[in-house]
Amino acid sequence: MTLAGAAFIMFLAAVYLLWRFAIPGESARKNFLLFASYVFYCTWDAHLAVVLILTTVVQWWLGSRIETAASVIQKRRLVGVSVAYGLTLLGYFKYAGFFLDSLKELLSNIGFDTGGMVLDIAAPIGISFYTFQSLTYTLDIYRGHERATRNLRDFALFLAFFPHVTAGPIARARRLLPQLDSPSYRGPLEAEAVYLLARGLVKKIAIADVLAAQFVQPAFGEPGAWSATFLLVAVAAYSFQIYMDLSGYTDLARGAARLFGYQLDINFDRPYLSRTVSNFWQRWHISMSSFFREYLYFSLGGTRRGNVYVNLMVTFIAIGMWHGAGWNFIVYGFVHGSMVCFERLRRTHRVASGLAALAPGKMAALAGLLKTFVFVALARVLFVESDLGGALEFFSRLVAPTGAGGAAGAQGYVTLAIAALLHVLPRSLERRVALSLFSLPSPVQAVGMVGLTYVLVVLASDVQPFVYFRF
Amino acid sequence: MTVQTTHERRSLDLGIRTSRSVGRAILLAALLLISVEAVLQVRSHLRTGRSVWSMITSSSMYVRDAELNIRLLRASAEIGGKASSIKTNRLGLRGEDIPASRPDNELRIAVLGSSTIMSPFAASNDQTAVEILQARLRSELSPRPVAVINAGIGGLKVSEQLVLLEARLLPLDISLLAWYPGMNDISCADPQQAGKGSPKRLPVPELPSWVLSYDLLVKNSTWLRRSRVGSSRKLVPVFDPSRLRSELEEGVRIARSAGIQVVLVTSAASFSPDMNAGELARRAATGLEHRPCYSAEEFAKAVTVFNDVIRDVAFANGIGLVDAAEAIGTEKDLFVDDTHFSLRGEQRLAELLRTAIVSSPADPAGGPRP
Repeated sequence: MTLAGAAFIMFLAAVYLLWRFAIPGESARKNFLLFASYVFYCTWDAHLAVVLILTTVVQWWLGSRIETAASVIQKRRLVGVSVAYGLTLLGYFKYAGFFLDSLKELLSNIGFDTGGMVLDIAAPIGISFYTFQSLTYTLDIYRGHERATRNLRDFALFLAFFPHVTAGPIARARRLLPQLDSPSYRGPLEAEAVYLLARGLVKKIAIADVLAAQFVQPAFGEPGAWSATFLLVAVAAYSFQIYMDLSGYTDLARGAARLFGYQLDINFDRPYLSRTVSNFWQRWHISMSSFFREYLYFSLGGTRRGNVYVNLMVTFIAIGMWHGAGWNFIVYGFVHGSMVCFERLRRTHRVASGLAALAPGKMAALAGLLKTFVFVALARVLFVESDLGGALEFFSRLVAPTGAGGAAGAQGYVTLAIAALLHVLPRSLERRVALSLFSLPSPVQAVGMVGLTYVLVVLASDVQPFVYFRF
Repeated sequence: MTVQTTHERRSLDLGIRTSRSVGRAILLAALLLISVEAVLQVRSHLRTGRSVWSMITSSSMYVRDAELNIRLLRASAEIGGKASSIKTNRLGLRGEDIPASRPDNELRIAVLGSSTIMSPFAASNDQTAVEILQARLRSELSPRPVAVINAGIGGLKVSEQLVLLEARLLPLDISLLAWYPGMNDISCADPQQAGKGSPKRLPVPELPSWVLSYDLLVKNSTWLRRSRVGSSRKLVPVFDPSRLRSELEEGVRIARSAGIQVVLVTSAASFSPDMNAGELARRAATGLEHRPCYSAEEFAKAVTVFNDVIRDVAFANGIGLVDAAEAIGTEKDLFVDDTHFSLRGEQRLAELLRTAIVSSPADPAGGPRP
C-alpha cells in the first residue's frame, strides 16, 4: 500500500477515526497503532514481517543488556553484536546477490564454470530504514545518549510505525521514543498535519509522477531516441523528480504521524540551493546522511582522528552502498566523496591563505549553486540506472546523441518550472499562504479540498512507486 | 542525557496553527464528494439504467456466467434509460430471442466479438451494426428469413470468445460466423502479481469499480497525462501475437468442423501509426486508459500487428476476410472513441459485412445450407 494512493488515504482515515473515537486510553491506542502498523506492513509482504519482528525483539533485548552491562568491555561487545546483527541482515538481504554475481563474474573470467550459482533473495521492504533505526537505539544507549525502554510494545511501535516503516525518515530512538510516552496530541485535527499530507500528495502525484512520465522514463528508458538537449533536461528533471518523490513521501509520513501526535524529523532543507556538495549532504535526506555522519564518520574519527579524507571517502562509499548493491552505487558514493574531499582541501587552502572559506559575492554564490546542482544531477545518472553499464551508455548518448527531439509535452515543461519555483519559494511565504488558506471559512476550504482531490485524481491514474522503496 | 544534532535543532513545526477546526472542512469536503458522486449515479441511472443502485438490486448490465466462467449481459432484460437501451435475449446477448432450432431456409449468421460488436454506444438495438446488417439482408433476400445474432460482449478476450462460440453459438446451428475479435487481448498486467514467488500480502482497500466521479475525471483528462512512453512502471504489455494466432485458428477449426463458414474481420480504430504524434495521442487516449503500459505509438503498432495476425490466419486457412481496419479507415466521424463506432460507423461496418456475405464464393446467402 503506497502512501500516495487512495488505499492509504482510506486506511489512514479508518485508523485515525478508530484511534480517535473508538479506542479509549493511551496504552490501548498505542496497542492499536502497533496493530495497524503491522497490518500496513503486511500489505507489502506478510512473510517478511518476521524479519521486522525478529529485529524488534533482538535489538530491544540487546538495548536492555547494554544498559545493564557491568563493564565498558561488556557494553562494547553487546553493541558489537547489535551492529553485526543489523549489518548481517542488510548484507544477506541486500548485498549477498550482488557479491555472488561479482564473484561469479570473476570466476568465469578466469575459466571456472559458475552456472549453478544463483541467489535470488527478496529484501523485506524498508529493511534499510528500520535496521538503521534499531541501531540508533542500541548505539545511543551505548554512548549514554539514551535510556533503554522497558516496554517492548513501545520499541516495536518505534520501529514499525506505519508512516515511516517503508521509506523513513530514519527516526532517532532518542527523538521518537520519548514522544511515545507523551504524545503532543492536542485534541482537534491539526491544520499542519492536513497541510503536510496535502503537500506530500501534490509533490508526489502532481509533480514527481508527471516528471517521471514526461522526462525520466522516456529519457532513461530509451536514451538513443532523443536529442542531447532533451537528455540533459531529463537529467535535471530527474533531480526534481527524486526530490519531490522523497520529500513528498516524507511530508506524507510526517503528516500521518502528526495526526497521532508524533513529530518525525525533517528530511530536506531545499537541497538544490546548496553552494557546495558538502552543504548539499547537510540538506538532502537529512535523516540518512546525519545517521552516517553521526554513527560512521564520527566513529571513524571525523576530523579529529585518522585521516579525514579517508574517513570521508569511507562514509560516502557507505552512503552509496546503502542505496543498493551495485557498482553504480559504489561509484556514486565515490564521486560524491571525492568532491567533498576536494571541497574540503580547497577550503583549507583558502582559509590558510587568509581568504573566506567560500568566495564572497552573489555571483560566486550563484556559480556555486549551479555547479553543485549540475554535479549532483549528473551524478544521479549513476543512481537512476540499474547498473554501471546503463549509466555509461546514457553518458555516451549525452555526448554523442543518436536521436532527435524530446518526449515531453507542454505539461511536462510547466511541471518542471513549477518544481524549480517551489524549490526556491521562501518558507515564510509558504507559511503565509497555508495560514491564509486554513483561515478561510470551512465551506470554502471544503470546496478547495474537493478541487485538489479532483486534480490529484486526474494526475494520478497510475501512481508510480516511490523511488526510495527500492532502498 | 539528550543530545540534539544540527538537523534536530531545526524547526520541526511549520507553524501552521489555526483556531478553526480543519476536521469540519474535511467532513464538508467528504460530503461534497459524496454528493457529486450521488448526482452522477442518478444521472447515469436515468440515462443508461446503470448505477450502483442497479448493482445493489442485482440488475447490473453484466453478470458472470457460472457455467462458462465468462461475463455475459443480464439475460432477458431491458437495460437502459433515456439515452440508451440494451435489450437482451435469454442467452445473455444483445438482441431478440433466437429459436434453438433453425428453420430450414433461414440464413442464420452470428457476429462474434467484444464491445465493438455489442455496441455500447448505440442508443437502441436497431442502431447496432448487427441489426442494421440484419435489416439490410432481410430486405435484400426477402422472402427468405434472415437472423443475425449479436454475439459481442464488452471486455471479452479471444479465448473467452472461443468459449462463447462453442457453448452458445454452435448449438444455434448458424450458417456463417463473422468474427470481429476486438482488441481486448492488447492489455497490461502486473508482472509481480502474475509472477511466481510474488510476496504474500494482505489485501489493500481499493476504490470500488462503480465510482463514477473517478472514471469521469480520468476519462476526460487523458491529454494531461500524455507521454511518448507508457505511463505505468508497474504494468507490462501482455499482448502475444502467437497466442492470438493459435486461438483464432482454434476458433476457425471449431467452426469449420461444425460446417460453419467463417469470415474474419480486422479491428478498425480511429488512429493509426502514421498519424502525427499529437493526433495519435488524442485519438488513442480512451484506449490507453485501460492500457497504461502502452504509449500511443506502441498501442497503434500493437493494433497493426493484431490485424496482421487476423489477415494471416484468414489467408492461411483460405477463409473470408473483411478488412474493416483498411476499409473503414480512421475517419473521425465514424468513431465515438478509439475503437467504438458512431451510428455512421455502425452503418459502415454493416455494409462491409453485407457485401462480404452476399458476394462470398461459398455464398451462404444463396440458399439453405445442405
